[in-house]
Amino acid sequence: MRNIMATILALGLGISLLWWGTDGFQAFTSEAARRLEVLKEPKAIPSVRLEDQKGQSFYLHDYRGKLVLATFIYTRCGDVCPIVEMNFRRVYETIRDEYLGKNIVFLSISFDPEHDTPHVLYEHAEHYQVDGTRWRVARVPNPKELNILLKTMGVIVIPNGAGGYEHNAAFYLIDKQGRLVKIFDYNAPKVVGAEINRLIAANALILKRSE
Amino acid sequence: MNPKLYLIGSAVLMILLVLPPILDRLESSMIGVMIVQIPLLVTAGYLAGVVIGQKLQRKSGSWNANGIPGLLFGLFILFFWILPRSVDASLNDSYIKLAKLITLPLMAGIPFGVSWRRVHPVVKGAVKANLVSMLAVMGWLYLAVPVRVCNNYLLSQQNALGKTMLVIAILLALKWALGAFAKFAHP
Repeated sequence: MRNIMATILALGLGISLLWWGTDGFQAFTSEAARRLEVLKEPKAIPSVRLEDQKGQSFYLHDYRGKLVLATFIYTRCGDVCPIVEMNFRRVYETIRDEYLGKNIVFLSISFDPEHDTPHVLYEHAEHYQVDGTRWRVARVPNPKELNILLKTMGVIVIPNGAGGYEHNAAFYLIDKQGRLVKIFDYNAPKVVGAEINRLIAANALILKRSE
Repeated sequence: MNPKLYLIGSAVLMILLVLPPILDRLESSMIGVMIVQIPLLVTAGYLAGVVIGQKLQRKSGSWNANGIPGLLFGLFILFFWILPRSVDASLNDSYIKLAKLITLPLMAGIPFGVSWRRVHPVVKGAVKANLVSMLAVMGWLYLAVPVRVCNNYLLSQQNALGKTMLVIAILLALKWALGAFAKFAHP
């Protein structure tokens, strides 16, 4: 009898432990946990100085009042970044034209400022037909600021020993107050685009009603 | 068996595993953590657990008479620490690392050591069969999935771990299957 009770107790304790450790069996990896955490509690993003493909400096807080969809890349990346950028382009194309630049701005941010000079970024931008206002390609010149930004966004970059980097790729939605509110998978661009369209449309409706 | 030898083995293993140069070396690779560090931490506790199990009087009415509660409890503690998320967390946070170094031998290894001899052979067989199949499935997953499960390790390391897990699964399956045949042939 005691033996059975102890078995039930061990089962209960064990399942509770795993439940607690995975946010109710939702997040088994730290990436999933990170996404869940951002959804529950938006994270304020530090306003760092960026430098775009034309060598122009700007700050993240310049875009307060607009949504920003950001992704992190480095231009020499051969495997995942080209797919990320192609899909970023697909999201861009899915967004309704009147929203682009007015309600939402796209940012491809390089985490390899040493190699990705404005000149290199310019070529990268040309390749993906980035227009430079509604979609900008930029680097964070100050390494300290770059580290803070990567850390808050939850991007972990590890040199792979062959001159390149291994990094987690995603699309990061920053709201009008400069807070990270959602992390999207990079391999479902249509879904991301549709959700952002819906978000902006709903917001416009609320503004109209309050007028 | 000599209990002293078991206890010394347990202590030496524990000391080696927490020595900073060895700890860092093991944690620098995914194979080091998953194939060497975690199993050896459990082994260190297991050795002590065997001795404790012998000292404990085994009464028919006791809590852990058939060994199942201890086995289950240890397995859940082990499962918790091999979650990719916990692996990442123990690398990024030194308190969580400390918790891992303490709880794996204490709460998984010792219960295994105490309980394993009490467990019915059928249950032992089920645990072994599950271990082999889980190693094989997870190994194949780690080889095939292009997504990193741990933010701290490269994809190539994950693939290497997958391969190693497959090899271990095959070796264990062979060992246990041959062992069973040998017993069958010479009962």
